[in-house]
Amino acid sequence: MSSVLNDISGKLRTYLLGKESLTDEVGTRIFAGPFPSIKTAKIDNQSNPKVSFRQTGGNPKVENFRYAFTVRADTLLEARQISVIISNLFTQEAFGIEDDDGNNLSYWAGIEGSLNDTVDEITGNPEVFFNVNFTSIY
Amino acid sequence: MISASMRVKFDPRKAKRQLQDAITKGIEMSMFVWETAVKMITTTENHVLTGRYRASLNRSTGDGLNHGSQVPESKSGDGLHEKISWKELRGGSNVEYALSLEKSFALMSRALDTARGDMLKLFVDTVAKNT
Repeated sequence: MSSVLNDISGKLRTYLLGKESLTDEVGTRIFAGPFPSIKTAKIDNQSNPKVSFRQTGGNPKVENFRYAFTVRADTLLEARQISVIISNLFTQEAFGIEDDDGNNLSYWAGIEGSLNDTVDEITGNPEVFFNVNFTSIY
Repeated sequence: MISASMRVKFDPRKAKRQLQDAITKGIEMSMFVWETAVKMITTTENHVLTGRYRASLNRSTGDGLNHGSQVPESKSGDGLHEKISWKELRGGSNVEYALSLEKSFALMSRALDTARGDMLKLFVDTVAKNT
């Protein structure tokens, strides 16, 4: 019996870092959590992530996790390209992780809504924002 | 000998139409549950300043069901409640800051989690009632 996961953020980051199609574009600048705020963090100490994601919902009973992804880049085009790469990674191949006991867990990932163009409220840099829902497959 | 017979008139086209109408109604009803959940989260977490965003939810722009401006700040086209096909409905908000609210607080997606059970139940009940 597999253990119930309440948060897959760390495993999600590891999964994304293992994908060359994405790391070719963003390197290791993938952040599990909301973008660090310039108001509260020293700019020198920031890792300057391009991709951030945070869990915004889900239901452990039905084993689904919802994550909000935000991609920040110098241009909107670049942000869109990175978003499409991430979306394709999740939706065009099976997304699977291992739980702490080494069991393989597979998830059906779906983009909820669409990829939305937005801007960082503080710097005005272009961003793309989208929701991904992961549903466990047994 | 005693016998009984019964003739049932069955028009497959009519039955199909009736089922489609029931599904459309079921989707519409379950969408209202979600919209109510978004409004509840918006209100209970004190995100309301003018009420425009809240009022924009379930205000139609596409299916002829315009609920009218509920707050003075509302603009025409604030609502996003449009039929895509008989089995699809798109709900949301066209208010300029809706995306920013969603990015920061995930109001709509969290409402989907809390309302999902009730949405499915109401959908099934509505379809059963109308077929």
